[in-house]
Amino acid sequence: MNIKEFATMANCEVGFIIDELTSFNPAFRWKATSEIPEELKKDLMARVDFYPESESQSSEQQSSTPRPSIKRADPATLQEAIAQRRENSETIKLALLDALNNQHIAYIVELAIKNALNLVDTYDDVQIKVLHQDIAQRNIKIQAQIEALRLENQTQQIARTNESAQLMGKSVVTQSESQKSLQESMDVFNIVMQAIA
Amino acid sequence: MNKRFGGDHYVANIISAEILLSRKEAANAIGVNEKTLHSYLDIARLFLDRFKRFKSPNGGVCGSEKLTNWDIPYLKKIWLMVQKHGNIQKVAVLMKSNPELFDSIDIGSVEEEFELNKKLKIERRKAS
Repeated sequence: MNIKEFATMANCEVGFIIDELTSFNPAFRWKATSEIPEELKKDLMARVDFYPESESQSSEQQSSTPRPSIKRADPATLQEAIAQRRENSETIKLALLDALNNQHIAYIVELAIKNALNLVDTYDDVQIKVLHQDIAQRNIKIQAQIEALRLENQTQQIARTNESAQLMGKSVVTQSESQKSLQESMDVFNIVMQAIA
Repeated sequence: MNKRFGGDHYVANIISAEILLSRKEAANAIGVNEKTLHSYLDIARLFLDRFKRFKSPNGGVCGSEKLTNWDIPYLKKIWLMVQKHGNIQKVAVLMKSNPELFDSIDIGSVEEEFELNKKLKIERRKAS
């Protein structure tokens, strides 16, 4: 049986079968007309059963023989998970911005890793798929915020530098004033000494 | 100014880490054409966890999935391995048997090796 025939029988795409066979044996260049070795057929059948996409294509087969499918979260749980994720992300984002403000690199990296792990650990494939676009959009927003914060930081630094320059100027003035008063007192002292003499 | 880490600009670069790239931008970053990049993705999605998102249920590379700048060092590693072994199919076999060779990489050393190899390739091309 070649790949094309097998795909027709299993109600799935030829490309999918080729992918699976390539992942079993990448040394061979698989084509639609390639014969499927007997020893790979069993593994391949298991893979075809695993993917729910093939189920949706074969509705008749699905009704007759129930197949194991990936556990899908119900919409309410999914919404809850998204809200939770959003909340977590918000907390992490705030901490990240705070860390950026204080320029703690190690902490920033740790947070970034935590963010990634949080995503991987908490949610299953379906949720990750749904959240992926949301996160991509949020990333862009966060980047914009970080950029704004960086600019704000820069302006603050410039302001601080100006302030310190002003303070330095003031201290120079104060120094010259104190020198002046010292000079005056010295003059008075000299006059007094001359008077005594 | 954060002198220890090379200044504020560097800090901002680290933070604005995930940037979505088009296929063309990613191909330019590696110095290959889009077709070659596609073939790299074609093997990477089958064996590396990082690129599993490019797996399409109908077979082939998922076109809507975006590459990010975080994927570039891993693609550079594949490029280096292709240069070393001379054939993408051999790299695919290697990837199946040792995915950790491609998955857990030292990004700094890969970048260095990549630059060096690129330079050597350009020099060789000029000499010939």
